[in-house]
Amino acid sequence: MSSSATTKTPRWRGPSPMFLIPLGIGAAMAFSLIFGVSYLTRPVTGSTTTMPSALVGQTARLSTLPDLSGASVTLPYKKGTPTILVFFASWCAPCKAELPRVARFSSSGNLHGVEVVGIASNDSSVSTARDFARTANFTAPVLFDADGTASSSDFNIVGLPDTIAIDADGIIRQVVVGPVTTAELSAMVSLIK
Amino acid sequence: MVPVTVATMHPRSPLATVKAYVALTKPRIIELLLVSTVPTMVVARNGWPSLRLLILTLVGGTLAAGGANTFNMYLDRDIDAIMERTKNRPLVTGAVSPTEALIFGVCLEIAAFLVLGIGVNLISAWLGLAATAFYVVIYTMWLKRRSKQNIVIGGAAGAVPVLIGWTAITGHLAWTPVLLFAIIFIWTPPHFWALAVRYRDDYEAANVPMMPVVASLKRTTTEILVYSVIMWALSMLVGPVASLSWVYGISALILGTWFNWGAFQLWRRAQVDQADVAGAMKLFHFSITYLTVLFVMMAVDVLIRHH
Repeated sequence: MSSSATTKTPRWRGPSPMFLIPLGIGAAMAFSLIFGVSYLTRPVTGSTTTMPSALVGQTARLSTLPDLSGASVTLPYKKGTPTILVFFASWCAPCKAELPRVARFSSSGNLHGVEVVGIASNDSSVSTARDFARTANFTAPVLFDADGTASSSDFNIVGLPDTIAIDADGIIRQVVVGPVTTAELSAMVSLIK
Repeated sequence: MVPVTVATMHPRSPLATVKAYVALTKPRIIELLLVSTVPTMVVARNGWPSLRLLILTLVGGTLAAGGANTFNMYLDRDIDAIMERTKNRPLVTGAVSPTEALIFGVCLEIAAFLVLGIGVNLISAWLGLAATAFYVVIYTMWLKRRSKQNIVIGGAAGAVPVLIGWTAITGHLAWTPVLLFAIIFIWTPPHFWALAVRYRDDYEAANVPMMPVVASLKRTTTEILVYSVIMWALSMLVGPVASLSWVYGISALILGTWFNWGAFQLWRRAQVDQADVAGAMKLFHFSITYLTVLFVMMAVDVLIRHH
């Protein structure tokens, strides 16, 4: 034993606060990367109003899908009713934040007769999708697109979440790629109501 | 005073320091991981995934693999110093201290978990962490210095990126990613043993029981050949399982034939006691091309059918 050992006080004081350093650096790296990538890819994950989408102006069509109770549903969901389609999945992180927002928006009298329909795309099971919608207080009808093929072939859905506004004539009027905001939902409603 | 390694004291330029930290992550290995991830995501999505998801998945995967490789260098710094091939690694030369490397690795893993967990989804984040734990604990700490099957089992960690790529898109696992996982898993031993034939003396000096060290060349090349045949068979299954077309099928057939021909040549020469180090290195290099082109052709197959 060297003499330096005697000068130290080997008393256990719980975990050293030094462990916070890698935690802080790691978190800082992660958040700057997430924000950096989100910012740089903004045109694609896009926020606001006029996303140029090849879908806009086309007639919406969707393969027949079962709803969560198993009944088959085709578009238009209700003939002559403007509809907002919300594509989501329980495993998609941004959807966890988005769906409750859509649910709050829908239930507070902002819809002016516009129908909201959820499409659980590529989710593992009907019960998973149901639980996810229930947790988000999303009470609108939810269709179950088991392997996501209907979403991708009919609406070019290339990532979740996506939101599509369809007017009373069944024409797609707007596409929001990425999490939809309340302001965007209001804009959609006034566009198609 | 006990004499310490000399290399630690002189000051370094910031650029050299950055380079040393990058070297800790073994960027060449990460490249290979990414090569398998992108096509897997394309197959899972049945088209191009969104750019944001693609980049965040790759960034998260890179951070996780970089952290795992850093821990590996930290734990292996004693044998890395003995082996010719690895004696210039930053922890051997002293460019980075062991504690610094350890902290760096922890930072990378935390960042990886957060990037995948927040930017992609939780299942991908857990898979990344599980692969790291497997590579560090099961491979590096336990098997590498004890078992001649070290690389066979350790290879599982290198095959996880395809699982991450798949779950990033679909949120759950399925048969296709499991099959892709199996291909990389079975690909790893012939890939690595070909390299180990060349660096046999290195591994022997460091007491690492790599196949060519503990078994004869005949035995090693036989094993390489057997794994190559299984890999070929698995690669042919991808077509029907992932509903790909003849574009992938033909590519897999040609690539597999090519790879197995190389493995067969190596085996045949070993049977008449011809040590073919050049042939082994050729197979090693081709194994990288093989995996890259095989996966790229999966993506090509999907993309040409949709456009």
